[in-house]
Amino acid sequence: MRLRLIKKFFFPRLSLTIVLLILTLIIAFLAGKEFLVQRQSEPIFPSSGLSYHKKLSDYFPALRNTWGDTDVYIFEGKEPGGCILITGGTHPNEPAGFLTAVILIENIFVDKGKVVIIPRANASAFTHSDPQEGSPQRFFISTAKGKRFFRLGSRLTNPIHQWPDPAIYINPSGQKLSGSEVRNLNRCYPGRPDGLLTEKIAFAIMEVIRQEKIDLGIDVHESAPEYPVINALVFHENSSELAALVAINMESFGLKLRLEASPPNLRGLSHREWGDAAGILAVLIETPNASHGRLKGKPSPDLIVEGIDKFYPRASRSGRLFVDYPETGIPLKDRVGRHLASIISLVESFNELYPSKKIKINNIPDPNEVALKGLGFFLHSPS
Amino acid sequence: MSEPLIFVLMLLSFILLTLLVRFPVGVSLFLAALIGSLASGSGLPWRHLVEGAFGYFDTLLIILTATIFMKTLEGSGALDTYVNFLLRTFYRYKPLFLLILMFIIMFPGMITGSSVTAILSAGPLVAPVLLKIGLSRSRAASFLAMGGILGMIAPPINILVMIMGAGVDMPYVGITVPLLILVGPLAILVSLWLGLKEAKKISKDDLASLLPPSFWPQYGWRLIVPLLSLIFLFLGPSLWPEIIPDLGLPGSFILASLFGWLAGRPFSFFQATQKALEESLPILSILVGVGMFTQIMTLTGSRGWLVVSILSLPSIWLILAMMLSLPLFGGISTFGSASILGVPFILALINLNALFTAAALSTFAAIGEIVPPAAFSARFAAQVMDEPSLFRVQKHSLIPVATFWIMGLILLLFAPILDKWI
Amino acid sequence: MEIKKTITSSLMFFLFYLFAASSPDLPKFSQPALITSAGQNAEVQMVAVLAKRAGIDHILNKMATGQDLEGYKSLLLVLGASLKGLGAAGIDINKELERVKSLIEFSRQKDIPILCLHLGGEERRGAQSDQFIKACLPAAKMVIVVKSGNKDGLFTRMCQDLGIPLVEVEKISDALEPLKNSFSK
Repeated sequence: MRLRLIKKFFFPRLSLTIVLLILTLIIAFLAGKEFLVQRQSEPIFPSSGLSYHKKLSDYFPALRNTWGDTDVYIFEGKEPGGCILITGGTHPNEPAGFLTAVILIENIFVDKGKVVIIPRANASAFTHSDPQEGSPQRFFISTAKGKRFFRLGSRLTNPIHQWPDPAIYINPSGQKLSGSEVRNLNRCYPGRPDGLLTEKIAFAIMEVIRQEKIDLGIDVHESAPEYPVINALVFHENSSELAALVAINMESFGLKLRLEASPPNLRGLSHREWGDAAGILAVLIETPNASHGRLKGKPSPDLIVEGIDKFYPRASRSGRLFVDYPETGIPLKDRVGRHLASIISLVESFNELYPSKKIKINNIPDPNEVALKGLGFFLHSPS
Repeated sequence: MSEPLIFVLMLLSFILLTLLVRFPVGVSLFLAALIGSLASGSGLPWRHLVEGAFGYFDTLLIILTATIFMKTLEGSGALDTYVNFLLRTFYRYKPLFLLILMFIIMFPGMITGSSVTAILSAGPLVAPVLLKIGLSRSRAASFLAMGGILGMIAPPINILVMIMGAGVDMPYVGITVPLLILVGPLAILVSLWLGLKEAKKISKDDLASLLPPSFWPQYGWRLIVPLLSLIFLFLGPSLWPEIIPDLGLPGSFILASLFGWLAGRPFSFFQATQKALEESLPILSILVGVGMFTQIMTLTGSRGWLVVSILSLPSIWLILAMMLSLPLFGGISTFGSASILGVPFILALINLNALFTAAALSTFAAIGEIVPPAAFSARFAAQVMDEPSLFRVQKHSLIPVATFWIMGLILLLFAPILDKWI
Repeated sequence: MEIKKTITSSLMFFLFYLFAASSPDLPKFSQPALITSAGQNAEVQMVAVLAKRAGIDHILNKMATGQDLEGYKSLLLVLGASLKGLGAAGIDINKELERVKSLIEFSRQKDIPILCLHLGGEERRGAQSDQFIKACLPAAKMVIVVKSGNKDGLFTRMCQDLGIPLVEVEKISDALEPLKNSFSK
């Protein structure tokens, strides 16, 4: 009786079902073609200051020929000094994190010390986009000679590369999280060498920290304007003095930095485990990104690059946000500029606190100039 | 076309397609999404439709495999045996008996997170008993519908909370106690309100004629194996994470189903999966449709408009808006309501404990199960009871639904106190 | 003639007043100093950095109570409540208030002068932060505040009523100078 009931309700006619089935196949084909586009990686053109171009699998061979393997760019100065790790693309739906890393790779020269940059920390997460977010797959930045494309990915590892999620994820630090966090790189530290793909990526990054003898790790992110941790620097307690100095140094750029101590009971995050497991100074920086917020209007490549949104200014006026969101938007160049200012201040402050490990990086684009000339000015032309 | 207009257009096309053209809900949602996308000038966004459809992929698997598990409980005779045992043990005490009946209906919903599964699985077992103890058809149908809804929001699996949690990065952990605080009193109030007045005590002979068969004499303790193995697979990985791998909910359900297949009365496992698929397909198709609908709402900017409009309300209105908009939208799709409205509501109440907020909001959204146009639980309950009037079922459900509102509201208002107390 | 004299003298008086107002005779503090927050805010760390830059002999103790003040010659209280900070320290706002009051009480008994700083700006205001501000200011000998935190004039009003010198600075790094000056001999 029950089945008849359901049939009456939901299956009007067999012929309709067949038509729908054929339609579904056509849609799957059309969509599939589009999904594959997202696997094409955007080129990055390192500055001539690059010393080595390595792969993450060079540090942890188990990642070789997996979707978790990714580029590692190393800039080494002639003189010895401290060593910094900068990771972008931990969350590929936070474009300023990725772009900051790219801008650094394409511009800097290191005189003293060493800078290790991983622009696409979770390479798998770049290959798909978040369901129900309606995100564009790419955004574009004009350079002197033509447009460059960059991918907007997802917060999580592609489920095609790691599936299924457990009901409850217990991460390598023993914290219980919701199942899907098993694919969130920034919950999987310090990783597991024999774990799932994302845990292996986390482990490989820990290996980079150990093998390259990193002193300071900077994880570059963005957050939705409705989240409290924004325009902020989250620091491991071993870096509290560094963080305070950075906040003061940031004032010279006319920027206010919110300081947030990394909560000791929030485990698996870079600013916690890099400090705990590897003993390095660890910070994470955040800028406001409308394109991955829930209040955003129509998503588009423009929303990512220009940051002009229809609804965020309204939410800002009614006091629902943790940042002032103007009608004129918060463009990507300002967000990347802020990250660059943070990184410059971090290096300055690090040098002040640890004079024996001085690091000297040349040619980091000046945040004010980035705001003036745009990101394209500091990017290599395509091809 | 402006965002609010697109939203209204999508909503109207959906309602017209389901009510007038009588398309299945899932298909109507898909077509409404397509219309919205065309109207906004986004063309035919195939990638977005497929991507949106996959938004609830894991949830779909949970519902499907949980339904397979229910089918194996039915097939192996385990469910009959459980019900037989419960009814025989408790039939003498009227209020307790009503509570047990309520629990039997809720049980499949608690496991699958779907009220319709509860109503369809347990309904046929409980329906004759409800009539026999003297409930009118319409009241019995209301009893059934309420049981389904309570099962849907009861722990361990509340898909509404899962959906909302996914939107605010809240782990599905520690929700059992808030949900029990919510559902426990509701189950007692609702079953007594609906049952106590009309129900009369039932004689042993009457009961005997109604009892489903018990397979205990043939198979004994083996009938408990599927249930025990499921509990073990649910709890094991978090109790002994080093030893027991986490298979995920779908994996656990499938494994427990295989135990069920081996444990009791022989039945065709293949047929059970077919039946499960057929039975859950309507809900699965709705979730796929909701996924597409949501993605296109986001794509056209109308989700942003909706969320911001709600967030701009002053706080008193905000609570009122929750209590009204969640059930109203739930009348189209409870899951969609949780995803589209629930998430911004939690964000608006960010200073409250998100677990309590989510639990309360899931109650409001679940009321949508008896709200037209879809009114799934009320509709299916009426069909199972052979009650011709949907309206009569809804009428009986009014007071119970009011208690849902009140309990949800209490949970919201007292969240800060409960937070400390727990 | 008479008018000219009046104008000149009033001008002189006005100039003198301006000068006096712009560099008031600020109270002096001695070293070593104990730095702690009133409300477990993150700015306390910045004050420690500023103190280091100013060459002030100091110690930072986030959970200092009255007894810990023993041996110190001044107390720097950094005002403003941070729920995150309180959470990280594992205490609630009442416990924190108690701690701060024990510090104030001890410094009153031992005659240790208190310098209050509010560096968090507008964001570090609101009911909870104001609770600490109101509890601490009456015991202060001097107050340094970042301007945006005094938009509503609370610090100006309270300091006027209590007769405490108030130094307003544009940004956090500008607090270095007045801090240095108040510890210079």
